[in-house]
Amino acid sequence: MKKALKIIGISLGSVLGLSVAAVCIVIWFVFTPAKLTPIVKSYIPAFVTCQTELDTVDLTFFSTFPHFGLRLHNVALINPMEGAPSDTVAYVEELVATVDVDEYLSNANVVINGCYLSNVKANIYVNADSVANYDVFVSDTTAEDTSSTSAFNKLAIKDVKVENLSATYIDVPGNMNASVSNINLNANVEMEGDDIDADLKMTSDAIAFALTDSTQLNVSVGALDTKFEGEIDDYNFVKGTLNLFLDNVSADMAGSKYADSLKIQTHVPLEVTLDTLKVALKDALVGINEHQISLSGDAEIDDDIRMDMHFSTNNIALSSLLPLVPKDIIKDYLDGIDINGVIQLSGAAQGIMNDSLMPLITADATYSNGSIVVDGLGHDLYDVSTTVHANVDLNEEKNSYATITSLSAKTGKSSVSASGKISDLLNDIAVDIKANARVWLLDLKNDIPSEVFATGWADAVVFAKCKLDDLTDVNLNKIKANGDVVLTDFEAIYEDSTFVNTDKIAINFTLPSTHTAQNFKEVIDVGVSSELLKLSMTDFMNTTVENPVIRVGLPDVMDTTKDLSVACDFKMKNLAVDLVADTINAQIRNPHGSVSMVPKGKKTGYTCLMNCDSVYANVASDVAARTGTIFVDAKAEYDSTYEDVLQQWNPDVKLNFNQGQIALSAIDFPIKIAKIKCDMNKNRFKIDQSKVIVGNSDFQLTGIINNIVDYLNGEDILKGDLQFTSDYTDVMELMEMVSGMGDTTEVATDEAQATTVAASADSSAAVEEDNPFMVPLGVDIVMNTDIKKALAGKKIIEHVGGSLTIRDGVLVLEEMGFTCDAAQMQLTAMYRSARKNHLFAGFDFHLIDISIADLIDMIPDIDTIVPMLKSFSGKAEFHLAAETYLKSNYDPKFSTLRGAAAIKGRDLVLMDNETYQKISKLLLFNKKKTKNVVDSIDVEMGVFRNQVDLYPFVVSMDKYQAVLSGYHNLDMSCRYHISLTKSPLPIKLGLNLFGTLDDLKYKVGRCEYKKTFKPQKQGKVDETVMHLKQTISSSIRAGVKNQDALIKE
Amino acid sequence: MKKIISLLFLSFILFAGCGKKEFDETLLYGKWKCGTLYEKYVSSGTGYTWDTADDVDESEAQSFTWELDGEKLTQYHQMEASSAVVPKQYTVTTLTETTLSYTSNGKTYTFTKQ
Repeated sequence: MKKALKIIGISLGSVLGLSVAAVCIVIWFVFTPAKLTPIVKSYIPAFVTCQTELDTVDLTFFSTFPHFGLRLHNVALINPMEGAPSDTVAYVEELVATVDVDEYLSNANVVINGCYLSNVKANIYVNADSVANYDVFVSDTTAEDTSSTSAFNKLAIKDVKVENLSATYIDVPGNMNASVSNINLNANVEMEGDDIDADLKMTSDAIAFALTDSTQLNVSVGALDTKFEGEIDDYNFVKGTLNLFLDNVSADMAGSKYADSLKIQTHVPLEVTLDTLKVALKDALVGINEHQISLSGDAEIDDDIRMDMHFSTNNIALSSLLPLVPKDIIKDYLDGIDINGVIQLSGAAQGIMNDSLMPLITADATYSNGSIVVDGLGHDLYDVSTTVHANVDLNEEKNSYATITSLSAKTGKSSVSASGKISDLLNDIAVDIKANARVWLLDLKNDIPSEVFATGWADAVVFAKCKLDDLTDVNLNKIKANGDVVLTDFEAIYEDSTFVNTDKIAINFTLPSTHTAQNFKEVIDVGVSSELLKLSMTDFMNTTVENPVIRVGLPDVMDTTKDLSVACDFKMKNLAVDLVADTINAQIRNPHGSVSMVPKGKKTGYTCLMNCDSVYANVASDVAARTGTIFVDAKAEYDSTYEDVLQQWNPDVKLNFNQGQIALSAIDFPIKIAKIKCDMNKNRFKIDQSKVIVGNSDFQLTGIINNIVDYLNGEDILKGDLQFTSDYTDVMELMEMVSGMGDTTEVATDEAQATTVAASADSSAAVEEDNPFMVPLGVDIVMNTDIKKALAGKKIIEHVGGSLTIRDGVLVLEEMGFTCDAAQMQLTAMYRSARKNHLFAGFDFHLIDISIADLIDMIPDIDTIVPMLKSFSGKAEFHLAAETYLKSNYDPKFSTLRGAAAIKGRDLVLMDNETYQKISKLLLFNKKKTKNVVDSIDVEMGVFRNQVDLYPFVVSMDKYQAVLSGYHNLDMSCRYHISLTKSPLPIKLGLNLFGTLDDLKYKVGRCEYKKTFKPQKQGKVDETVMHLKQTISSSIRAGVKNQDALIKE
Repeated sequence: MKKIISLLFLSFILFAGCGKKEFDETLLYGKWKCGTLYEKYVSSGTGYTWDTADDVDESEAQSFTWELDGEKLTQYHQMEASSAVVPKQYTVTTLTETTLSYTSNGKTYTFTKQ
């Protein structure tokens, strides 16, 4: 056995040795480089047109065992071209190719067992004329024979190796430069029939690519590692896996960095059907650094592209993703924003894509553990998370939408969450969103003006539905929104001086408003309610509002073409206001109503409708007022083109209130206003009803004042017709009440003293001017009085009727008639103010059947004018008229004083006083036998400047008759004469009285008037005197309205 | 008896001398001044008076009607606030083209023509 084995071994060794010897002979002696090289060189011109270099060609066997191969050394294609970096187009240091000849000869299979290239260099250059240096190959001009069958059954390319291939590419017209170095390629391709198996692997070191045109694109790859394993069946179905790894990938364009040292890797299992161009991916991965995108699905390219491709990413930390985003993009979109968190995307593209159709794209995005810090925002958001689903339909773009499943974020103590849907995502984006927020107001301090400090919690629920454009444009007419905001433990401070606080206040709003305003389209509806709201202003005001319910309606406030309109309804249980500075406090119970402001062209309309149950108000300890129900219906129309306030506001006000009462510290009794019903507009002020009780007095004032605006415009006079009706009026009480009101006498005195002192120091000091009452010009107001009973002094007067008229600068108390137990009276008075230092005052006073004592009691000054009047007692008819101009301080200008008086009495008693006793004695009266009853007197007096002329009058008493006459001055100096025209005495005596009324001198003289009252015996002088006396008597009595009341002769 | 006749004659002469004086009314026309007091007489029987000491000028003067009967100058002042008329009578003592003097209640007022 051993021998047999030995023989076989020796035989095989011999055969092997012979074969090796034969191969060596063939290689070294038959196909020597010297023989092969010329042969190969002779074929080169058939393939290339440029200059070539080839050192040697030899046959290999042992290095390509078990196949023979051809090895070429230093092959170069040389094609010099101006501008090219090298004359050498391509250079291969060593090229070895082996072919399985037996396989081809035996089975008609082309099997390239090996193809090896090492140290390859290529310099591709395209000059400016688009002429390439690689255009050196002979073109095949023979027609392609498509009828013949394949020349081989199987093509296999095994073990293709390229080592250290470096290449440059310069395309001048394309402004393109590229280079690659140290490419190493291993490939095995086996094709049998219609089936191909391929296994490719390629690595390279540096790859560079640049566009030198305006794009200024530079791309570099530090290393490339590519591997494909797969097969192609029937030249149609490709199945394999492509792995790609790019290391240190950088790209910049126009100076902007778009990629920096990235690691890009793909793992793409794919199936491709070539005839239908259908590609199927399953769990394909594309990775950039640590971020991955997974792709699964298929796509098919026919006339259309049909795809059903799904993608998803891993959880991507923004801290690692954002550094990959170009800085320019970061600057454009995220400048000043520091955002962190984790995002995850997944989605799909499904459907047909062609010229008219696009696939449906769905995507889900999740952002979690986020934090967002925006410079200047003042709120660092944390715990930000959101989940969004998007549906993009490029065919029916309106169907594209995004659903925000959840969105939440926190800042400080505050948190916000939202959800909703965004429709018509690609065009007219519409949002339908609900948001909840719980906000700690201090977290918003950077959003609130610095003058305002606000603290407390705001819990809000907001719904909004609108187009995004409408939202960004704040198109309030197109936004549907509503919400509720509840502020708790709320406190706000404005400029450290105004304070608002409440335990709880609820605010709601609706957009568009469901309410309808009368004069404008209400768009915004805001409601406010609270249990207790406090507002205070330091050193000025404290306000407490109980249970306020306020609704405010607003129009489109963004419409700058229109002025703002406001409608407000309000209701409160109680409103308490305390004006600290003015020591005024007021309480309004249950105020409710509405106010509005509506612009009308250049005007602005205002309305106020308010009711309340009661009002209490106090001004320090000076005024205390309260009312019952108050109703106010006010309208106004503001027009700034007018200067005076009334025309500017054009008010139309209706006011009713009841049970009012005002207590003034200066008055011992309250003023009770039982009822007032009035209305006012720019043309008239009308009092329909009023009932006032002041102390003992009651009155009703009604009437109307017209032409208010025309008066203010100077176009017409102000007309008024008022009625003053009273059951009982206490005149003195009312006069005492108003006495001193507005009186600055004390102040004026102080000022005058101060002025005097100052004047002594500075003669140029200003002198205080008096400020007398000036009757308005252009006014015609009549107030008719109807007083049933009035208390004047101690007298009750009844049926007081007459009118008070203010007419164009003149105030007239006209024919005011009244009666009392002392007399029937009629008073006419006039006051006119031509200028401050020239005031006119006059009166015409008639008292019929008045007791002289009552008269002096009622008008004490009458004693000055008619000093002898106090010598009589009994009833008389008294007529007095006087007028004078006054200085600004109301001192009379005596040069203008005029007056007249007429007194007619009968059955008067001559008082037994000292003067009477003196006169009786001098005129030899027998007082014991004389009854001192005066049958009648008929006195007329005239007052001119500072003199009082007493015209002669007769005094008849018992058996005596005397005539009195004379004059006195207002300084009380006088001269009187008494003529005793009838007496038991045989002579007619006269008595002259002179001196002053306080110190009379008596002197018996002749009887001057013994004929004066005897018409048949009157002289010219007597006649003239009586004429003057009659002039006074008749003219002054002509003013009596009720002539029948005059005492008959 | 002779004494009595002489006394009656003397009395007649004296009374004749104290009889009614007559003045030319036309001399009264015009503006007269007495200190700060002014009076103005118009031929129609109207007149005006004012006193600048009381800050009254001619435009604000008070009107009156007047009549001159012998030596009696009577002014009638119609009041504004009343129907009453206030007469004021003076006794003229001098009336020339330049001087007007009258008395009232023992006082004499002398005016000069303006």
